[in-house]
Amino acid sequence: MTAQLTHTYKRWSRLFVPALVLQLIAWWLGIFWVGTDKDQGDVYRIIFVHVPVAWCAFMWIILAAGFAVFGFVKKKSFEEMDRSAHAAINLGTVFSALALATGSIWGRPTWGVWWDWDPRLTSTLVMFLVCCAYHVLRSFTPDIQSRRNSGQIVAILAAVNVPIVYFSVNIWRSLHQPQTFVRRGGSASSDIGLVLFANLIAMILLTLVLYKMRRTAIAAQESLEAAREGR
Amino acid sequence: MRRRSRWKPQEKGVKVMNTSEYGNISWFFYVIAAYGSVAASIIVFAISCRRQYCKAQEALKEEGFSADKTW
Repeated sequence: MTAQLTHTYKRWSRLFVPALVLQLIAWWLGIFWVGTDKDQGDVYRIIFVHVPVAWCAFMWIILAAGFAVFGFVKKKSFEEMDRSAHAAINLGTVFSALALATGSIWGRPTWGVWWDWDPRLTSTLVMFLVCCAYHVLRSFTPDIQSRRNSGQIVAILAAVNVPIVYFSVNIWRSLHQPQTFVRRGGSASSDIGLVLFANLIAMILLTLVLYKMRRTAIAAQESLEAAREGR
Repeated sequence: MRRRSRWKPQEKGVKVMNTSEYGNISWFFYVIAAYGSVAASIIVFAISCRRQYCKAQEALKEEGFSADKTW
């Protein structure tokens, strides 16, 4: 099985550089090709990194919960699903943090502050903290079975927060702008939408490669733990 | 006659900046900071995956576990 792991890891890690190059091309389009916004000027270009990063965070957290639920339903594939959920939550944590960081960098020139206790920002912070709780819980639970059970439950809890984050700008009065592209009559021009879509696709592909790399690394790590326990 | 203090209280609250305040150079700073932090995190994440995988594989080899028994 380790040979299969090596094959899987090598195959996916080879795709990392092409996926990164694709992402760099999409970023180049966002920074240099697309026109300037009439209200915000050039600083709006952060949208091409902030929105894909936030959507990827949502995607991987929801997928982690999906893997967790599937693992509970199909007991046979519980271990496999736990590994998948673990790798997905890893990405969800990093991308939630990046959504907060890029949002903060964008907030400074547009709102005048790095941080505000606004519903969207606060709920994203809670989502990030729940993801951190997943890792803390896993690291402090020595028994592998209870580690898996508690991890899966926290993965599901993290996903419960995703719709709260997403709809927070519609539910509460928020400093954060409402959805620009999803709602009808959005104010963004078509070229901005197109470049954003290209960035989203590139970011999803890149995170898919990262997910497979992380999942294989977790599998190798668990393989080692299992071998040591069986000694 | 009492002299008036030169000290003026600072305006409190959120300072909303005009686009002209961050000018043509500093927008680039904000954009590069945002893109740079994401690029750096992605690369660090990929390196950490590689390290975790290689360490586990090396430990498996060093401790002499058979490939069939380890899974």
